[in-house]
Amino acid sequence: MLGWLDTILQGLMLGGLYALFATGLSLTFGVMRLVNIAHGDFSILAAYIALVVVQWLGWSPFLALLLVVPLMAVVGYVVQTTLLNQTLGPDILPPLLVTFGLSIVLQNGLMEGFSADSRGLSIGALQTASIPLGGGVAVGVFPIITFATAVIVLGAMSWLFHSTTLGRALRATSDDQTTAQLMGIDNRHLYGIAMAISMAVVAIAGVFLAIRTTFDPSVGPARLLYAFEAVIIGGLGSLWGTLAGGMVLGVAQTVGFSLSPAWGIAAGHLAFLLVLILRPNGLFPKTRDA
Amino acid sequence: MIQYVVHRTTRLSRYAVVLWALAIAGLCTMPWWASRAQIGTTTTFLGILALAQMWNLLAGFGGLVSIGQQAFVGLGAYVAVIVALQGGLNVYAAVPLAGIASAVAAWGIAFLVFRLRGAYFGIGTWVVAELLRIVFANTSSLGGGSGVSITSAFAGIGRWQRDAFSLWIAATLGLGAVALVFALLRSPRGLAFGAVRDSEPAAESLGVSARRVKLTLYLISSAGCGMVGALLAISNLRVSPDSAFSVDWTAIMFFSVVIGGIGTIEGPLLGSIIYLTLRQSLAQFGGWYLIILGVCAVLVMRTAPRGLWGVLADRWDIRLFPYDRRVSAEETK
Amino acid sequence: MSLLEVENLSAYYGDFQALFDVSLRADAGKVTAIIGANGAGKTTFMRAIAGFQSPPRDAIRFDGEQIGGMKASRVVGKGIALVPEGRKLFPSLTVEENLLIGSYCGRRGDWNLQRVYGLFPALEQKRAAPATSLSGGQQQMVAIGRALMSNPRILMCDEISLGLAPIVIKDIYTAFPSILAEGVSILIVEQDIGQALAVAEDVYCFQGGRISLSAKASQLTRDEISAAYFGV
Repeated sequence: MLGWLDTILQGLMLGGLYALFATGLSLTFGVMRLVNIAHGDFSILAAYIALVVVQWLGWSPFLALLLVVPLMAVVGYVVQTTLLNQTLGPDILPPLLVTFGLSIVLQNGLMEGFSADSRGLSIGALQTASIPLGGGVAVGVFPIITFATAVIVLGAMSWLFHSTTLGRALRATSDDQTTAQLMGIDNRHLYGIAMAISMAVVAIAGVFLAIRTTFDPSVGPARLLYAFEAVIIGGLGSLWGTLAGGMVLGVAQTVGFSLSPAWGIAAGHLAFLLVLILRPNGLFPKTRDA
Repeated sequence: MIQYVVHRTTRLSRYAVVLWALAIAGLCTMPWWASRAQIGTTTTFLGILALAQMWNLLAGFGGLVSIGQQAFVGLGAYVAVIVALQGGLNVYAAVPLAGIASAVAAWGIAFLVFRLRGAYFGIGTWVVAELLRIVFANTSSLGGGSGVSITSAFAGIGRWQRDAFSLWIAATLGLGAVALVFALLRSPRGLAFGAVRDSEPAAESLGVSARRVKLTLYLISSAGCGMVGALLAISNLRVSPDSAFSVDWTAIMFFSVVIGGIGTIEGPLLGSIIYLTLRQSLAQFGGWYLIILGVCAVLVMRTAPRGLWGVLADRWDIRLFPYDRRVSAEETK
Repeated sequence: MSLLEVENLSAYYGDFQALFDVSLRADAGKVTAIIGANGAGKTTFMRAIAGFQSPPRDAIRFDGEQIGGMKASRVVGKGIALVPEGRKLFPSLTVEENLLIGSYCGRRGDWNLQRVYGLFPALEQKRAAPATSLSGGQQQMVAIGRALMSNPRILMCDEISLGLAPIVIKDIYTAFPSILAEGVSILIVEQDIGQALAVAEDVYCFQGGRISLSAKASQLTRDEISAAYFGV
């Protein structure tokens, strides 16, 4: 019984990490109908940048975020405005293919630069610290930090979308990008901002992933799949639904792992497919973030 | 008086038929005059050609971008493994069996993934492929995660025969794929494909069932990929889940199609040649060849979205595989 | 010099030509109306001024400045606000948010939420409702208010009476004198000829992508209008 509680708790916390991965994907899709196949690979890029910062400057990974997050935001803005904006249009193929190409370039580029060796980021004692909840159940400190970060990020995004001029402009652009121009909104710039935010959040996800487990250039695509599953399970268009989706996925995976390590990830995929069959619109669908 | 004539071939395409016949003859006689390496490369090329045509059928003509066709390549490879390990059937029967198995699997998978649209459909197919990879990696009777060798099934077959059979199967699949796509598009069905891709509501209003068209294309494409998967197993004699279900298969398919020219029949043909040439010549640079391939794909999508063939065909109005209908007005007395 | 001067404007959708050398003047302080049958090019014309086409620079002059080919997100900053055909409110935004987004371009002026609510009192109660949940007439008011929030020099209204009951249309048009009094000139596209003649000083009639008639509203006869409208 307690074992189960422990497992489920771990899964819920893992959901926070998955929500961080999923948020950026959901944002760019909502604002400009763009699915970035290289989404996961960008998070790994961020992890490697953090690795470099940690190795050269001796900073802790958390401090490294101060450099990595703004840098990735800039990368996102540049990639969007120079490469991706021109692919946007009624045809879904160009953005898919360009981002797929980017994914391949990123993976192999990182491989050339850093080799295929597994790396990790360490936060010292915090990595394995845990808080006992009584009755033999304990929850890790770092997973709590991750979950709390996810909640804070989602809260910040929600605030951005509903209480700021920029957020209003993003929502208007996602509704009707032609009429948005009549308001003086420059689409191209705004899409760049959306991608910048997406990359900033995925950078946090990448660094936290690197602390939680080991990583190498090839693990990007799996993050994309988990992010996507979290979005679909949660329901398109809903920010907090993505957190719920992440938690469902996280629990499915951890429960699966505890039953049979070889089937852990598969359990997540199965949960996703189950939701697809039973509730194709997700658990908390919203067509708009209203 | 003006008479309107519908042309379904071009002069160049009629001459090209002769060239194709010669090329096919040359191809099939290779076991008798070509080196082992050359036969191997040609077999690989024909397999890639088949895959590219199947992906193009789905994406270029059906508007369905799948990132998960590797599910069927892997499935087909494992059908070959099962046939080989069972020992009851001739191992070459695995090819058509793989096609059937893949089509059946595709029918079931469509039920799930057709609930998703656009790019999310693409990723959904990828998830299914990943699930299949895990399933096969956990099936120890089929070799589990480290894979299995099927050399035993070829005990009585000599090396020359193996190479020749692989080549002929690859030729059937590769050239057959081209012929199939060509025939499909020239048929009245072919018009339906284009209509659905261009505008589903409009096509539906004319009585074309978009869902049926998409399902048909998905089944055909999957069957084709499955058969290539079986060919893979037969040629390499070794199958492992990580290589059989690798997303690299989709990468190969989409590179060939995009660089060559999506939505045409000549495009994937050209693209397969370019891909293989690039791979052979850049192989020595390891991971760089993939980086270059990725950059090429990005550049082509940005500068020539209709691919290399698109550029050539537009400049010189060439059609080697004409499937459209052109109307000309001719004066008659 | 007129506030808005259009000279020999042609517009295309791909290979299809929708406007043929159209010239038009809209004077400051006045209401100018454009009438014409469906497909005559009226909306294309409005959208061209708003920045959705690429005419030569000198084809459109606003307050002396050549703005032909300027992109839409910059045109509104010059003081030209379009109330688009079909209203095109943002469904994800509330009434008040729709109004607020109108001021995104940052033009300084007297129009603010208070002024807009003063002009259209019915909107104030509904300020927190999703914009598209309002009645057609109220949505039209939001669309006009949204355009006014950009503090324009000229307000362009494309078919604001479309789909609305006559009494609602009258309600909306009664706001015009107040808008003019604030120094905003108005250019309207109107299907209802009677309404157009009642509210406008200058009238232009479009037919087949060309101007078939341009005159003072007070001097037009029914026959002249019919001839110009239908191209008979």
